[in-house]
Amino acid sequence: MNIYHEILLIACVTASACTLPGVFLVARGIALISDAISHSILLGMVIAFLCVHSINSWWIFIGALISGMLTVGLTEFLSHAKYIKKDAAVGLVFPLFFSIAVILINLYASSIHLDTDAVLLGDLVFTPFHRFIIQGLDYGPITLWSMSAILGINIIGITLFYKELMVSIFDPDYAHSISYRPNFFHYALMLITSITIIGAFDTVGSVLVISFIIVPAATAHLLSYNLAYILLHALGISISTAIAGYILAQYTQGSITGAITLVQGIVFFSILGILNYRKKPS
Amino acid sequence: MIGTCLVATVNGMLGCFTLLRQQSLIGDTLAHATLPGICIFFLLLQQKSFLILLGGVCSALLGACLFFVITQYTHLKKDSALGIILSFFFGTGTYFLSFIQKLPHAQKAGIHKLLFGNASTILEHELIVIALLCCGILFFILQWWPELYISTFDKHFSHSLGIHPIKVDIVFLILLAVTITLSLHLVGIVLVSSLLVAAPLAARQWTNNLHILMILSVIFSCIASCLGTYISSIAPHIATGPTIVVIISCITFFSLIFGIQGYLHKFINKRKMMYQIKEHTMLKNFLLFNERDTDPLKLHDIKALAAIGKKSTNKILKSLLQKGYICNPSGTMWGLTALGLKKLQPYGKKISL
Repeated sequence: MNIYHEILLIACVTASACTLPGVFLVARGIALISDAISHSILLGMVIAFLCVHSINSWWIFIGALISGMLTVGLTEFLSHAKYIKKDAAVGLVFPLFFSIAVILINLYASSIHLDTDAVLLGDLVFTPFHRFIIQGLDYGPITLWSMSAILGINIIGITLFYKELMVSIFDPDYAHSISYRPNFFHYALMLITSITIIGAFDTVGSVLVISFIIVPAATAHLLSYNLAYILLHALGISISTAIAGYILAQYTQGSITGAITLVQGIVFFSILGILNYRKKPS
Repeated sequence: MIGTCLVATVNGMLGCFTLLRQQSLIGDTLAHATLPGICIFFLLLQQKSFLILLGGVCSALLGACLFFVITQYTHLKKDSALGIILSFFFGTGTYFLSFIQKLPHAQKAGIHKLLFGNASTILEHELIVIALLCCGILFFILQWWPELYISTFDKHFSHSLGIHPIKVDIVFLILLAVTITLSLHLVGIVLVSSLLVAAPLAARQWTNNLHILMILSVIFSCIASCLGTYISSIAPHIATGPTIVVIISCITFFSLIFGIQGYLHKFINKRKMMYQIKEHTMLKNFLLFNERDTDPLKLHDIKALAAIGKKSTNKILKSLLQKGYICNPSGTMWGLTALGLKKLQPYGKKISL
C-alpha cells in the first residue's frame, strides 16, 4: 500500500467516523456544539502538554476530552440562566477557552510543534509519516488505526443504542417518560463527538472537522426522513466526497482537506438546488 | 489602541442586536466566511491592500445569503445551516490558502495574521480607513435605529408598520459583515464572535433597556479592548486578540454572577422571598391559635409556635418583633399586637371560616 492510498484511506475513515455522530447532532439542532468542542479541546491539550512535556501521550487525549466535556457542561449550565440563550452560551465559552489556550502557547510553548496554524488547519499530507511500529514491523500510520478504532466505537455505540438515541433525540420528553434518560444519552453523544473530534484533530484541523461532521449529515437529512437511511446516506456521501475531494486536490495540487470540504459543500448545495427545483413544478 | 476601541464600540453595538435576535453565532460564521473572499482577492491582486478586505465582505455577504437560502428552503435547523456555511466557506478558504502558500511572495504573512489578528501591526493609513468605516457604520445604526429597534423585538409588528423585515435583515447583515471584516485585523477570525457575544451578554445582566444595554456594552468592550491592547503591548509574546477575549469574558462572568439579573442576585432574592413567606406563615399561625379564643391578642408559648413554624422560629419571631407585629412581654410567651392584627386582616376571614 503506497502513501497515496494510505492518505485516501485515512480521509475516508475520518470522514465516515465524523459523520455518524453528526447525523444525531444535526437532527437535535445542536450542530454548532461541535464547533465549540473542536476549538476548546485545544486548551486541554495545551495544559496536558505543559504538565507532561510530551506530545505523544495519553494525557493529552485525556486533557482534551476533559476540556471538551467541560465546554458542553458549562454551556448547558449557562444556558439555564435567565437571559442567556444556548447559542450565546456557546459563543461565550469556546472563544474564551481557545484564547486562553493561545495565550498559554504564546507564553510557554512558543518553541514547540503546537503551532496554532497547524492546529487550525491541519494537514492530511503528513499523517502517513507517524507509523505504528511494533517490534520492527510496520503496521501503517497511527492515525489510520486510531480513526478506525473511533469509527468502530461509533458504529458499535450507535447500533447498540440506536433505539434509545433516536427516541431521546427526537422526543426527549417521551424518552424521559419511558425512562430512557435522555440526559444520559445527550452526554454520551457529546462524549462520542468529543472523542471523534480529538481523533480527527490532527488530520483535518479544528475548523474543518466541523464540515466533516455537519455537511454530509445535513445533506443526508435533505434526502430522507428515516434515521436509518439518513445514516447510510451520510456514510455514502462522506466517503464519496472524501474520494472526490482527494482527486481534486491531487489534480490541482491544493490542500486535501480544503478540497474535501469544498466538494462536500458543493454536493450539499447542488442537492438542495435539485430538490427545490423538483418540488416547484408539482 | 484607538483602532481597537473603535472596532470594539461598533462590535458592542451590533452585538446587542445579534444577541436579542438570537443570532449570536452568526458572527462566528460570517468571520469564517470571509476567508475565501480574502484569499481569492489576494490571488487576483497579488498584493496586500484594503481591497482584500472588500473580498472578505463580499464572501461574508454571500455566506449570509446562502444561510437565508438554507433556512428558507429546507427543514434544517438554523444551527446546522450556520455550521454548513461556516465550514464550507472556511474549507474553501483553506483550499485557496494552500495555493497562496505556494506563491513565492513573502507578503503572504499578512494573510496569516488575519487568522489570529494583531493590533500592533496596524499602520496609520489603515487606522484612518478603519475610523472612517466605523463612523459610517455608527451613522447607519443611528439612521436605521427605529427600524432595527422594532424589528428586533417584534417582526410582525414592524411588518405591519410597513418596514420590510428582510430589508432590515439585509442592511443589518451588511453592517455586520463590514464590522467583522474590520475586526479581523485586531482579533482574528476565530475570536471575532467573542467580541460580538460577550460584551452584550455582560450588559444584558445589568439592564432591560436597549439604550442602556447599548451604552453598557460599548463601555465594557472599550474597557476590555484598551486593557487587552495595553497588556499585549507590554508583554511581547502575547497576542492582542486572545487577551481582549479573556478580559471581556472575565467581565461577562463577573456580570453573570454579580449583575442585577445574575446568579447572586437571584439567589439572594430567593432567600428573601422564602424568609418573607416564613414570616407570613408565623403570623398566620398566631391567628390560627387564636381561633378558639375571643381575645385575638392572647399570648402563646414559644414551644407551641415552634411546633408549627418548623425551623428558625427564634429568628423569625425576633424580626417580626422588630417590625412591631408581635410583642414579647415575658420570657417564652409571645403575642400579636394591634398592628400585627391589622396586617392579618386580609387573612382573618379565611381562617375563621
